[in-house]
Amino acid sequence: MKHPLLSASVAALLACGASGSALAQATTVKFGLLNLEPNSSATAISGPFTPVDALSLKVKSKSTLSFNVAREITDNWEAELAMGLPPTHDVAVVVLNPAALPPSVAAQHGAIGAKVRQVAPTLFANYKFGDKNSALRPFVGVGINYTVFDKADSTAVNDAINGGPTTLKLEDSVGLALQAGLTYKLGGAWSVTGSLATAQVKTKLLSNTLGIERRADIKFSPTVFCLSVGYSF
Amino acid sequence: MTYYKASWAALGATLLVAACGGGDGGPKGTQDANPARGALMQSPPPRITSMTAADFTAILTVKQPSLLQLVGTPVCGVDVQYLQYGTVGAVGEATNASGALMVPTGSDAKCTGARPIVMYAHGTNVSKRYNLADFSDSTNPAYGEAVLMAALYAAQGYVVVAPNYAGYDSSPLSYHPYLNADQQSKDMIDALAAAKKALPTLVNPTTASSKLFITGYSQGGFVAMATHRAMQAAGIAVTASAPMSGPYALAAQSDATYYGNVNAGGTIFTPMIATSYQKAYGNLYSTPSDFYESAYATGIETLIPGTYDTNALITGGKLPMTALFSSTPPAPAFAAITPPTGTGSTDALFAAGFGTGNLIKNSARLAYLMDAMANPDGVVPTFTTGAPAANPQSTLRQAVKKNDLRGWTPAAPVLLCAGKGDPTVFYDLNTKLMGALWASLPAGLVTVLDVDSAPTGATDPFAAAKVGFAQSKTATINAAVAAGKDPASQVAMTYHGGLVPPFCNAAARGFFSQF
Repeated sequence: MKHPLLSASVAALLACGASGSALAQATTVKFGLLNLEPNSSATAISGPFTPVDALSLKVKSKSTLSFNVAREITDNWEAELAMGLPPTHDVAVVVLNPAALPPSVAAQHGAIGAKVRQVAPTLFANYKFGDKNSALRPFVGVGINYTVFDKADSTAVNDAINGGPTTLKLEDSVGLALQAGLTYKLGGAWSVTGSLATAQVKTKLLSNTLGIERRADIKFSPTVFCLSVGYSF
Repeated sequence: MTYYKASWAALGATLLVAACGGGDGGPKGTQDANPARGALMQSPPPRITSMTAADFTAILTVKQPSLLQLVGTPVCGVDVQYLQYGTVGAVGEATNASGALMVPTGSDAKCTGARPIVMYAHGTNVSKRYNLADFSDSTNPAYGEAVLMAALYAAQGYVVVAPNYAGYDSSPLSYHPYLNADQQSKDMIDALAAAKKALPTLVNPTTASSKLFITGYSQGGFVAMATHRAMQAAGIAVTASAPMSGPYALAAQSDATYYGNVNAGGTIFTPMIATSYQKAYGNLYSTPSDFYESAYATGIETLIPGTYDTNALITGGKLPMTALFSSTPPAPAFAAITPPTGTGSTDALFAAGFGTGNLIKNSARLAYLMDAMANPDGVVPTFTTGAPAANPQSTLRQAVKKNDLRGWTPAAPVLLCAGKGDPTVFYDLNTKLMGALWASLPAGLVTVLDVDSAPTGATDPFAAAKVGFAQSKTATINAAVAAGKDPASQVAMTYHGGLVPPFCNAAARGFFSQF
């Protein structure tokens, strides 16, 4: 699988990194913890041998380690690439209409039907308020999020609901991202940052159970809270 | 500087590697897009539904209490699989077809171990989306028959193999080889071979015993008998069969139609038969307008199966409701059979087969009748040899003769079940005739059951089916009277498709349970 956009964004950052030293502007690396609440909404799962409007899904929240790299452009502007250890989310079965389903399937509401890992690098342009030397600097950022669901595994529960071993595929998503946060300088090269971010993420789920293809559209309006410690150089 | 470059590059590499791990979303198991006869297109086949015995009982209690009463409480759970397999069309062209494979589940002794197989051949349907495996959609035209098979057989410990037939559901064949004895028996045999391959691979792996039963209703009654004949010829052991309400003596039934005894549903069956045999033999006509009136000829070869039900075909003007033939005699000599009169209770039925806006050209009917008179069938219009015409010249009569099931002798027990008042597939011409032709066979080999008859006594093994049918018929009459409708026509409307099937099916299971 190739992701030209990702390659391009990484290439841009490499260029940025290469020229950074010459301009003597600070680079900050941040490590921390983030919690990602996907706030997913999905259409009913549709396809052959699938009762209409009977089943859907909900992607559950997950915490993971964050890793960001920010590069000052001016005193107030910086470019930031936000990443993290790719989180694997549980995906719960949502029963919309139990009467349309065999009792063994209707009983699976809330059960974990899939585990989905996402890689979601987000490139922000941040505007940092206040003076360069202020200890506390709020910031807002706008950026572009690229989400790749690189691993999606159906559980035994989902295999049983669908009628056999099932493969899952989710489309990549590109969308607007926004964030707001606060950075507090601890002294020296160290700082701490808290931020709240969101992004537009849309994907299409394709499930294949021994040749039976079923689909759902999923939208996310994630809430990502991140607390990290930064080191500037 | 060099250090920075390296770390950025490493980061990029990490992201790219992470992004390359996704699956392609393809199916698991093995696939075969061009399956040989009897080969699975998808192995294992997907399971469509899984019901425990309690689940199924609860569903039947709410949705089909009368069926539950008829077939009894499920002992086994039922898993339904969707089968797709390789088969052939009417001229041996490779194609594929689909169907249902139902297996019993659960721990009851009736549901475990090696289970007997019942093959079920379904009745005429005009909807291409007919799919006996689709338990997720109660509006599927196959749903009623599918639930019946699950309740009657799978929930009582039988494996059910029920093909949708080539040309239906996902089958790419552009027509359906309707009442083609050779093709339809091959379709059944191929479905059985595929099902046997699938059984050990299922979510609930299943073992088949050596017992093989074949049944089917209406078109499926014909297919069941043709399949029994073909399997016997091929050396495949059949334990017993129960063809129900089928047009076995197809040439006799066809001659009767052209003699004016137009059956209920004749405007549906006639184009299905003609298209099937035109595709198989290529000599019924040069162009459909040789056979059909111009109002219907265009597109009629691709009409059935299609994306509609029978009502839509008729209200959409694609086929006339009942007027198969013109009410103008094709020649003065045939005035007395246009329509026939003096037949008693069937006068009204036959009269409905004639009118304006008819389907079949008078020239086609005349040619058929001239040949039928010159080379008569051994049963129609009068009983002589009992056999089909020796040397018919009409290509349509040659085709129905080729697919007529008279002339074979079963080596395994057969139950022929039907109702004597059937306005769609005539009892005397088919069920009673086959029974008479086989009357000299050893006792017990062939059993003929007319559910529309009184029990012969306390030991009548089919008393329950006969009493049940009578009660059901009485209820239909009473409902018609209460609604101010004509009881006779209400009974006629539901006789073949509604009144007889449950009781013949129940009788068939009782018959199979002896073996």
